[in-house]
Amino acid sequence: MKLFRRILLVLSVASAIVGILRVGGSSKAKVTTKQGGWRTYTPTRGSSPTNNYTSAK
Amino acid sequence: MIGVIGAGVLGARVVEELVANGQAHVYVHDSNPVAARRVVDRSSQAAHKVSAVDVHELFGTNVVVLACAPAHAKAARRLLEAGVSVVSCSDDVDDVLELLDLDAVARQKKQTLVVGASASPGLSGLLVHMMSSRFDTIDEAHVAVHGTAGPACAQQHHRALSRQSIGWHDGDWLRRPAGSGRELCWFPDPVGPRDCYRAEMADPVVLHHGFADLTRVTGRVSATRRDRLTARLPMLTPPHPEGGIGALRVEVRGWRNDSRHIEVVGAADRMANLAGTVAAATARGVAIGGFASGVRVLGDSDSPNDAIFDAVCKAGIQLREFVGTSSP
Repeated sequence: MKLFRRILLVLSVASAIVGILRVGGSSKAKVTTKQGGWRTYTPTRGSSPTNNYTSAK
Repeated sequence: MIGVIGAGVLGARVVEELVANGQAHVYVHDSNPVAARRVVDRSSQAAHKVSAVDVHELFGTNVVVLACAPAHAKAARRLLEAGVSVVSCSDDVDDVLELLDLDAVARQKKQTLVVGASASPGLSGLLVHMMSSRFDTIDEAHVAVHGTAGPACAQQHHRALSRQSIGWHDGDWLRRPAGSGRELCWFPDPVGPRDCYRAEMADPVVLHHGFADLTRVTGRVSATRRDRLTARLPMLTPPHPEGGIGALRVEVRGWRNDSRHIEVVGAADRMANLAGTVAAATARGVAIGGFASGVRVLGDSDSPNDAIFDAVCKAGIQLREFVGTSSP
């Protein structure tokens, strides 16, 4: 009987932990914003001397 | 001729990209011959030959892409000493540090070793380089990653959250416990906002090597509460064969017209797709002699960054910039 109660206790504690993790485990933050967004990135070409493959070896 | 070590998710994408861009002959090696055979069967076409080979045959190639699980330093040294240039996709900090130490070997053999040619590090360096042209000077770069590629990448993500993060902070390496420093990072759609934490990422090491003027460089990964709780335990469940849509986000800070300025650019795609595209474009760049000899990282001033960036965009990687907030 004692063993049975211990098993029940362990299972209930484990269930509580799993429940917390399932509820709070998502990293998908529930945040909304009215500002900001993503648009296609258009690079600004600098005056880099290595704009193209050059034989540097 | 280009060789690829590793026929996992990343290796397969590298081979696909090389074949799609007209590489006539690609050698593939994997410790699991069945995996190598599978990649060969999937990628071989009439005009492009992909062969599963023994590791010794890779010493006859011009460039070898290391797309296997770390550590890469030992293999890279052997290949360089044999006169073969190397492109490493390693994202393990200790491994990356060992790879960066191979500069003398690479220069002596007049070969190129590109360190961290994947998504993070790799694409992150390219983005910092591209964004730097919009600034007068840049002094901070902050990288955040969501998602993993194959099983080896997932294990690396798991390990990264159990160790110590490394960051460059005002002229010194700053170590903090991984899993700390929560920050809400916005990734391009469809990933969106994710809680990101410090982790043992190679990005700060690689970016500091390529951009010595940066005063602050940090790296963060997205993680759930469960990830952080179980980080110090062995992986409780086997990793997915391939993770879902991942994302990379690079925030650069600096000065423009005497005022503080911030730019954020990112990409959302399968991580293996991002990493494989960058690795393949880098390998092609090395094969045609676009890189100087020695150790190189993507984004540094001696690398053909624009050409690699163009190749990555041409391969279909959609880059997005964050807009809408006018003040830092």
